[in-house]
Amino acid sequence: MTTFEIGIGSVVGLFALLGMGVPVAVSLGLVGFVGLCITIGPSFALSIVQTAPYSAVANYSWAVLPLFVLMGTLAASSGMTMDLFRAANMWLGRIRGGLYLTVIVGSAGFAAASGSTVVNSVVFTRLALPEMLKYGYSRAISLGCIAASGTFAAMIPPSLTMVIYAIITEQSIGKLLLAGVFPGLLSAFLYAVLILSMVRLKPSISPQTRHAKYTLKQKIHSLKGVWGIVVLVILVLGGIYAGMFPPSAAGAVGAFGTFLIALMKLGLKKDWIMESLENSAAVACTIFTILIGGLIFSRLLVITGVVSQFVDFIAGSVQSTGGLLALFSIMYIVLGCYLDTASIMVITLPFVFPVIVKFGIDPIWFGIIFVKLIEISVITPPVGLNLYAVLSGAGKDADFKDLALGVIPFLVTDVVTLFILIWFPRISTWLPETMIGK
Amino acid sequence: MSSDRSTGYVDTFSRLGALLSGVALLLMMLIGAADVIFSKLFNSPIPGSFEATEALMVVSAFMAIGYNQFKRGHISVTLFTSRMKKTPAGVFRLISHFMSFVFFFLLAWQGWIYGLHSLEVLEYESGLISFPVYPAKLLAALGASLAALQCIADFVRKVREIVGNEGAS
Repeated sequence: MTTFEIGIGSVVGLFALLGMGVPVAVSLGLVGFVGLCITIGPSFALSIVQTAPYSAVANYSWAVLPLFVLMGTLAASSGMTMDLFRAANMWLGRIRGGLYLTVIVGSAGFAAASGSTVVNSVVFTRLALPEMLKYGYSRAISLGCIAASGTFAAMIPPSLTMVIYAIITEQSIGKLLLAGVFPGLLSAFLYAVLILSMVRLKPSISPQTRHAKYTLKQKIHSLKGVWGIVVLVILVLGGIYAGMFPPSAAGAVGAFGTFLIALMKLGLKKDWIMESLENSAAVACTIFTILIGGLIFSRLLVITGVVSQFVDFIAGSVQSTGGLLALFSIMYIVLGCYLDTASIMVITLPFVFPVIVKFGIDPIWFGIIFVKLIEISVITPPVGLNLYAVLSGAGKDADFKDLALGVIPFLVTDVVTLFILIWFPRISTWLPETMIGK
Repeated sequence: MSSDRSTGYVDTFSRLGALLSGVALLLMMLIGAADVIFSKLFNSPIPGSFEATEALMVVSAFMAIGYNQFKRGHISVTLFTSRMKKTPAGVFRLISHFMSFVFFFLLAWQGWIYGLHSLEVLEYESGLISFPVYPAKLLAALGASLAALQCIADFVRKVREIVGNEGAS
């Protein structure tokens, strides 16, 4: 058996274990370990198992990951989303299709504190859907709008997807986070344009407004509950941009700021604090365990030479950057139907990233394209992760057919956004290039 | 009855592990924020905050693995198994628990060797202050051991459930 055959066998074995429902982290770690035992011997394989898990986690730059998770969880339990939603609703509610816009703006705002697309979708389903149905908005478009707007969390910093991409590809976390700002805003803007056009073309999706009228004073007063998130964004992103502190410290500052806001709103009670800590620890642990398994697996891939053969094969069969991006786009959208974001990244990036480097593609720009593809994959029927998050949040208020239909206009818009991001790399690369603290 | 009690104990230990994991995360946040505040406002960073963050992150990540296993929080692909009947799906779940046990056992076994060696030589990381590394390494091994134990508890529970179902039908 050649090492290359072992490598291929490992990939097949990995998918077999995944199919049997074995956890992704365990599948990656075990297949990696067995493969290493065969190729370089059990004692060397055991030494990798001995050192890799600890060294994978004990890395200061990765502290940003659990801290961003904590920031998002605290933001969700603080009720900050309710304030955001109320404020957006006061300003936009009377426009035709205003509640759709409220969801888009509110979700983009919450994405500035949360990094998980699933959390965003669930929170806004509970918050906005009953209101939308009460005012007679189209059920399908409402569901689609909530699921699609939930994906902003992957692009708008602090984004967990971006941090994991940076960790696996060894890129600057700060640069990647900043690179997501304009693409995230562009996505939100194009969704808003889509809604305004749809309301004009098909007025039945949004009834004539019966919303209460608010005075300017009331509207300005509603922003009182939003200042916290604005201060946090300025602190976290401003701090990274100005080079005042590294992303991990920004994560601590962001989480601490959110903690203080939650403390002011909810008081010093044991239940929300313990619940947020326990949930965040569990989510961060899930990602870390996958990263540990992935590290053992990727050692195997490197040793067997599968990666370099894959790079040569792709370089031989695809000639242009456009062709390469098209190929990877299709691959990620299909994979997104079966696997969650962290697993997709851990499994594919060890193969894909060397190809990107070989083609001379800017890794930061590719990171943005990659995140956009992930955003698309989590809302692509039939198995997109965000669709299920919305369904679980909506309970009896939703059925899958409605949701799958309602999300299509947003998917089309996302594909347009993807093309814009591919066509104009400066949208992604300008901000990180101008950052002061490189 | 006694196996009921032992799986119950394991669940409680996993829960305690998650609690410790959460507290480690809270400390990471407090130390990180205090370090930024002290270094920016008073120009005096907290010595050892960098090393403490790394150590706490290890504790936080490893001590929650068992609880995640208990809560079935580890991500897996359920596309095929969710469509199976109860008994075959249960068998696949058993395989999954067994595989998880093997993996976490490997991590625990090697982790203890790594941690005990670190304790033996009293390993320190030298930075602004010398920071002990061995507690985090030992806690990582403990976390992986808890996870392996939780896999056994889950396996036993699943076997009882399958046998119970078969008996009932």
